[in-house]
Amino acid sequence: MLRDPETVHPLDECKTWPEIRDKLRLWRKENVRCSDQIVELGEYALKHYQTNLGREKWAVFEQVCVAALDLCPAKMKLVNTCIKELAEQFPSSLRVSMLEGLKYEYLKKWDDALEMYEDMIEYEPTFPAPYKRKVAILKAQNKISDAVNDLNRYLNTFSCDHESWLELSDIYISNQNYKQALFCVEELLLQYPHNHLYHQRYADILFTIGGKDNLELSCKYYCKAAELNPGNVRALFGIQLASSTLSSIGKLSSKAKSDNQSLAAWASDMIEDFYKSQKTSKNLIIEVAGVLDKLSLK
Amino acid sequence: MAELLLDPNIRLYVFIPIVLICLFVGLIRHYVTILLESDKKTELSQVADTHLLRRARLLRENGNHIPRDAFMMRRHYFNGPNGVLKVEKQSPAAANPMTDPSMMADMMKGNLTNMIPMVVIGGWINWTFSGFVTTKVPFALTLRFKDMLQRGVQLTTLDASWVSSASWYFINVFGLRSIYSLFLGPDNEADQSMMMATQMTAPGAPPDMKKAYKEEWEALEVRNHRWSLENITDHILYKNNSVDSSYQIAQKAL
Repeated sequence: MLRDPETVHPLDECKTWPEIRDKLRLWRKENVRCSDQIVELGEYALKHYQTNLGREKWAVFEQVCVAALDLCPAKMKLVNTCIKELAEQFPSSLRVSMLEGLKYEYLKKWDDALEMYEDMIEYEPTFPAPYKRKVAILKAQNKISDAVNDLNRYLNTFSCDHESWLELSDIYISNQNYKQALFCVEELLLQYPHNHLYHQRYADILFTIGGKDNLELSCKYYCKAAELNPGNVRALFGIQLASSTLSSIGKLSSKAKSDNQSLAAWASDMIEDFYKSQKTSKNLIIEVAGVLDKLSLK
Repeated sequence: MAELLLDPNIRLYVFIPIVLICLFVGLIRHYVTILLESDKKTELSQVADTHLLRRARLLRENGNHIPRDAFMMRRHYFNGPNGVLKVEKQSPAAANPMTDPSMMADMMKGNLTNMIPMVVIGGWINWTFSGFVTTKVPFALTLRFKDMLQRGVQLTTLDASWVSSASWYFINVFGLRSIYSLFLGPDNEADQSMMMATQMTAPGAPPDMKKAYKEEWEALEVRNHRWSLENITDHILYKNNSVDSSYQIAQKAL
């Protein structure tokens, strides 16, 4: 999910054993997807510190296995060893089956993977992961409508799974079903009302649908996003666009018009301030100013 | 009152063994319970219920962050004439524990690990170690405490601070909880007093969904929508934090 811009070699960063362990733990907890680093560090830990890891080593095996799948085919051998070790320790474990399913998915053996997930669902219908993987497979096969149906069925039962709502909204947006996408993002807003990205996403969709009412709504949600995180430049640009468009619509009252104008001016100022504070090159600042000039309607 | 001196052998052969017996019985019980434990299968409908209730609660708590029509639509979905919260739930609690063999087995196991050791070890301790004065609590107590602390030693003249062996056993049974959590971590099965508390309520009975639905329905029914973004633009424009130009324009316009 998050990841440092420059690739650092984790082994240069943490040398001692506790550092390595803590780093791996952190990545596990935060669900970070920096697969190359995880593989590098995890493989090293499993090689040299397996006894120190104790029972934690199974979690590391799982972590490394998932990360190594990202780096296939170079790391196929590692994936196989991890799965083998885990399957020996935990026969008939669902989490190990998940890994095997992932491996099938990597090999594009869709039917095998689907069968695996079906079996898991039958064995333990309350375990959410296989349902999601099935949707992922359908998406990978480009069967979008099936994926939507499946995801909807899943959300009927697991209606608080915010990851799935996010995924569903993504699919809807890519299919230009904006009304449905709005619904999904509303669910996200209900669950995480303080996440500025969800507000921004909601505003994006509203802005895309367009129309006076939607633009007004969109402007407000951009404002909320900018309020929650003043560094959200996309939201600032959104305010600028939405409010300057609104101020050019004839039907507005004069107060609303002037409000929108000053809002657009405020957003432009904020954007310029932001770029100046970032110590970017002079050219970029000039460019941004030019873009802003073009955006604000004459 | 003359000072009472205890034989050091009492310490070695009564006081410490009782502590150790209690400790090890607790540890053994922990592992036996783990061995006998049957994993409880949760039904898919139960999961759906909890998710639905949680979603309704989230709507109630965070409903102000979505536009009014979105809120009303959802409330209608939950509370409308055919709303999901209004649909009558047949309560699964009606299942009689006597007819469900797996529940019977659970109760049996509970008894096996709780009541039987309690009775057997208690009886054995009483039989082997009865009649000793083992230790003294380091503060004065009133006569009322004699029943509690001096079980098995009926001496009217003995000071109430002295503790008899049988009472020492019971103090250990109920007082070793923190020691167990030191050995086994939190949420262990060794502690008997916790077990007794959970046995009072019916074991394994699923929470009453019908009631939870009704409560959520009521709470949602009285919930009004006040959109939190109503004045957000004014808030951004007229908040007086920085001297930015738009703020000044806005001020002049007023």
